[in-house]
Amino acid sequence: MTILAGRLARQWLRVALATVAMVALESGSSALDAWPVQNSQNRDAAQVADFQKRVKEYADLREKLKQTLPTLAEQAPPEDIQQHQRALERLIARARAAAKRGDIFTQPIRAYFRRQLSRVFSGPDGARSRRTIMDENPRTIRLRVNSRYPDGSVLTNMPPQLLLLLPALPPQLEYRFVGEDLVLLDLESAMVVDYIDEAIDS
Amino acid sequence: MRAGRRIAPSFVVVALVLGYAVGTAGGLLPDRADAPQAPQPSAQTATVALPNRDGSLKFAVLGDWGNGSRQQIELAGQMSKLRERFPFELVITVGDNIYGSNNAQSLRRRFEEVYKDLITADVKFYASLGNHDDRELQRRYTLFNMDGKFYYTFKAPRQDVRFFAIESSYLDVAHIGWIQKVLQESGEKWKIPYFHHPLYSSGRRHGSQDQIRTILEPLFIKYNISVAFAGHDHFYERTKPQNGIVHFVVGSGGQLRRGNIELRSPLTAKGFDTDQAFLAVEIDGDELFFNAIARSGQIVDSGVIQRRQPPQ
Repeated sequence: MTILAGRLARQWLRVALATVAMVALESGSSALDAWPVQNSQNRDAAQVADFQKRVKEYADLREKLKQTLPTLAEQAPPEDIQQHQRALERLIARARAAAKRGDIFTQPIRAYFRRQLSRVFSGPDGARSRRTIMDENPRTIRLRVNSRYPDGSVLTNMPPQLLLLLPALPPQLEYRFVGEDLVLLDLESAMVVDYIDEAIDS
Repeated sequence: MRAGRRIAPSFVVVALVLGYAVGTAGGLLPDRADAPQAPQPSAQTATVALPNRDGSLKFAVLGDWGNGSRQQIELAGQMSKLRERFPFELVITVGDNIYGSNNAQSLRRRFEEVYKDLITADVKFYASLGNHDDRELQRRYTLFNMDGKFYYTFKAPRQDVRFFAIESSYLDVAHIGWIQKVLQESGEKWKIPYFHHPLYSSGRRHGSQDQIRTILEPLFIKYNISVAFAGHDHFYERTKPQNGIVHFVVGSGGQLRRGNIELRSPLTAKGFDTDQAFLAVEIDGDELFFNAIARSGQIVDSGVIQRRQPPQ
C-alpha cells in the first residue's frame, strides 16, 4: 500500500473513531449530552443544513429559469454563448429582484462560515492560505447581490484546503474571494448570489 | 456543468474531507520527505534537436498569451514557422488564454487572427483555464475543445499518451476526486497533466503554489507522472526533477515579466525570462524531446526526458 493510502487509512480510522465517540456521546449520560462541544457540533450541522437548503432553492430556481431559454447549441459561436449568459442573468435578476445580502448567508450561517474560515486562516496554514487568496485578488470590485461579476476581472485562486472544509455546493455555484469578502458566484450567469463581507480577519 | 461533479466522491475523497474536518490539516498527504523516490527522468543540458520522427506525437505548449500584443503575434509567427518543418498537431494551453475583456471580439483578435495559420492547418487547441479567463465563455468556445467542461481529459491522436486539463484555481472535492479517478483509470504510459498554477516555480511574483502542490503532487507521484506543464509566472522555466517529476512553467506566450526568475533558486534547471517563448514537444516511445523557442526563433532550452518507469 502506498504512503498516501496508508495515511488516508489512518485518517479514516481517526474519523471512524470520532464517529464512534459521537455516537457514544449521543446515547450517553445526560451530563455528556450537555457537553458544549456536542452542542456546538449540533449547531454547526444545523447551519450547514440550512445553508444547503437555501443554496438548493437558488439552484432549483435558476435551473427552472434556464429551461425557459433556448438550448445553447454545442457548436455555438461566442456571441451566442454570451447572449445566452446575459439572458440567464436577466431572468435571474428579475426573479430575484428583492434578493438582498444575507438571504443565503444568514447571520447564523455567516457566523458558522467565519468560524470555519478562522480555522484555516488562523491555523498553521493560515499565512499560506492568505497568500493564495491575495495573489491577484480583485479587491476593488464593489459587490452587490444580483450584480454581474465584472467582465475581465481576475478570479482568486481558492486554497483547496479551504474548499475541503466549506459545505459542498451544487454544480451551478462556487466560492471565491473579493478582498476579504467570501462570494457565492453563479457560474453560468457570473452573478453574485450572496456574499459575506470581511469573512476573514484582515 | 462541472465535469467532475457528476462523479460520486470516492472513498479517498471522503477520507480527505473528513480527515481535514477532524482537524488534521496538512497531514493528509505525504510531505515531500515522505514521498516515494521514483526514478529520475534525465534531462540533458546540451542542445537537442527535435527528432521529428514519423509516428511520434508532436505538440506545443503555450501559456499566459492572449494579450493581442506585437510580441504575442511575433511568437505565433515562430510557431507557424516551426510547424512548416515540425508538423505538430495540437497545442495545449496552460491558462490565461485571453487577458482583459473576454468576449467574441477578443477571442477573434487575440486568438483566431493571431493563430490563423495553425487553426487553418487544423491544429487543435486544448485549453486549460487561468485566473484571467472567462470560464463560461471559454469552456464552451468550440476552438478551445473543452467540451463545456472546466476540467477534462483526452487521449492524444498518436503514441500512448493521455492529457489531463486541470482547473487549478478551484480544486474542490469533486475535482480532486475526478483527478484521482481519471489518473487511476488511465492505462496510457504517458499521463500528462497541465494547468495554470505551477507546483514549482522560481518566480518572484508568484512562485511555487505549495497549497495546490500538497494536493496534486502525491497523486502525480502515485500515478507515475513524468512531466507537468503550468504557467502563471510570466517566463519559461524547466525545473530539476522534483520527486521524479520535471515541471515546466510556460507562462511566456504573450505576457512577460522580465527578470522575474529568482537567480539563486535551487529549483531551476533552465530559466528564460528575457523574451516571449513557447515549448515544442515530441513524444516517441519512452522519450519526450523538448525545445523552448523564443520570439527570435532561438532555441533557449532543449533536452530529452525518459518516461518514469512504474515502481516494480
